[in-house]
Amino acid sequence: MVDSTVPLVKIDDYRWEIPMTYKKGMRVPGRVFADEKLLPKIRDDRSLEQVANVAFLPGIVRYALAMPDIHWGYGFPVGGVAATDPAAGGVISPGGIGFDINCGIRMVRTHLTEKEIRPRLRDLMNQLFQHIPCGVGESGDIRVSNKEERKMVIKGARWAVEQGFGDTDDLAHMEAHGALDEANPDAVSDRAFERGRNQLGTLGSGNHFLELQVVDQIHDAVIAARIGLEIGQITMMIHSGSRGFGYQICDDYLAETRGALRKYGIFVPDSQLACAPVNSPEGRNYLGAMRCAANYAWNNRQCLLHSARQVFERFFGRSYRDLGMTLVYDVCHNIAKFERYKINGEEKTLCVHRKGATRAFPPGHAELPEAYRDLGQPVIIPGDMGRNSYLLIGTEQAVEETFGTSCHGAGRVMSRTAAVRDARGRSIERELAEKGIIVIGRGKKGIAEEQPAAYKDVNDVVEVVHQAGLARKVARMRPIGVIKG
Amino acid sequence: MKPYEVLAHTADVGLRFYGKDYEELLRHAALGLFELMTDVQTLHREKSAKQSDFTCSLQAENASELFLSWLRELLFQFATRRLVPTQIDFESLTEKRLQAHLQGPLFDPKRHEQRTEVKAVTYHAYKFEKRPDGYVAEVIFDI
Repeated sequence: MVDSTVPLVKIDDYRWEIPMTYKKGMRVPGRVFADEKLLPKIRDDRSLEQVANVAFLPGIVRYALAMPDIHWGYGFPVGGVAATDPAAGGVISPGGIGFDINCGIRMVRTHLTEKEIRPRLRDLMNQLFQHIPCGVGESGDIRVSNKEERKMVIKGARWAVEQGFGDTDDLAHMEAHGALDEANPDAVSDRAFERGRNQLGTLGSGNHFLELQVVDQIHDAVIAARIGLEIGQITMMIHSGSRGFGYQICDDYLAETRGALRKYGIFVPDSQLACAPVNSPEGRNYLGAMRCAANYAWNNRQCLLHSARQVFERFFGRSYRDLGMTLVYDVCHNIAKFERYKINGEEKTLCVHRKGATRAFPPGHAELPEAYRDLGQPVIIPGDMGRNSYLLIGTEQAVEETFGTSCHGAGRVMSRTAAVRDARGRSIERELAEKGIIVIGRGKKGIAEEQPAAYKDVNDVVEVVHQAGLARKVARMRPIGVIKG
Repeated sequence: MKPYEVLAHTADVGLRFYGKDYEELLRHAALGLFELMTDVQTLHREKSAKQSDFTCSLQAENASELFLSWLRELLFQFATRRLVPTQIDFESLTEKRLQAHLQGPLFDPKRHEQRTEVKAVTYHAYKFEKRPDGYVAEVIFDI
């Protein structure tokens, strides 16, 4: 592997700095959240180099940040965060959000227990797999006209709720209530609309999944009880994004911002970091289009939740409300948002890029749903399909240090080719079945690529976040059934 | 000459394409891209699959940019029409402009092997090189 030689200065056990002197052109230092255990894995690929590259972005404030699940992406590392100040020539970079705009995760609670569903789990998983479109080239069952699609990307998840796919309580439990304002369909290409049209309600492939889990540890009993989680309870997570609609928007605007680099005299060390000033026609158009994709993604996850609820309703012969299948929360992983932070005593509106990172707002934040206002934001951290996932809660510390951001998952450690090689002669499905986890996917290769060993241990990643105070542990789940695209 | 090889990347996948000339490089790019998503050889042999075709006209500043446009176009056509082009006829081809007629079976997720969905062609660490013995290009795909 690469064995990165990027210099890291230790600040404390969980914080490291890439000095500005590392590369000429860095405008701020890099700040990496990790411990001694995770660092060798992080050094194994080019992600630290990418943190240093992000520090070149015009208008970047304080640091180019990296969460402990950081790994090699394209342009930005996955697990990268950067805030830019539009008033100081700050830029927006489509590569800092990624192709899968608002790829994100939602967590659903139920009244069911492991005891109740274990005997019929295989059957339930098969039903979910049959009913939820996933994998390569799969279309959804929801058909929309071009005109309706344009409305949909303004409304976000509210569109699905208006079709009867869920209720307004779902909307209250999503980041931004499932829709960003100022989405501009006129900034979206026909190609993007075309790619998005048949994919609503589909999971996708790669690291997208639907997972049934059991709560297996409670770390904060008071908050867990308030959120409605207890040991032995079944929960569900859905991980998906804006599908081809978002990929095409990113693609279109990467081409456009690459052209804008010369126009605005911006130098970035990697074309994938192409960007344009937030306050420029290119920047504004991208933002308008990106918001459409973010809204598509919330709507997509809402449609996926609806499909899963339908399966549960038929399977148990009870309504989803009766089964207690309500949304804990829904968070974005890949997005740019305007948020207010105090920088050197001065209140500023910054453009926060989160690429493979989760917003983690503290107690008292106005955007949090009523029920969580005094608790802080639920931060959902999925792990690999063999170990654990976590629910954490946002803290004031994250506002101070990371623009209110936490990690987003375990983070890959093995390339897909290495993972397939590693799985040769083994059956990942059988290994997981022996641990009581049923995995169903379209192909053996996909499952091999996503095997547990391909990821860092989410327990290690979450420990860093918890110890650094970016978010606090509330509950841990373990998987029992996984659908992979 | 092998058509392409796979490069290690932590989260995504990179391919290094080879071609003795520009046209072969473009053909190998199509093969490599579609082999990430399905078993192209089986689709090639299958007579019963529904066929489709399209003509694509692309132009760019140079051979390197045109190569990326080609990959992006193939991916778009697959995403929207599910076309896996097994027959590619270049009606005209220079390093700045191409016109090609592509034909092939339509991918059916119910019947054909599903590998990984390719989300996009990235510019990250993109390399394009003209060598005395042909062309080499490295592309990382977001999957």
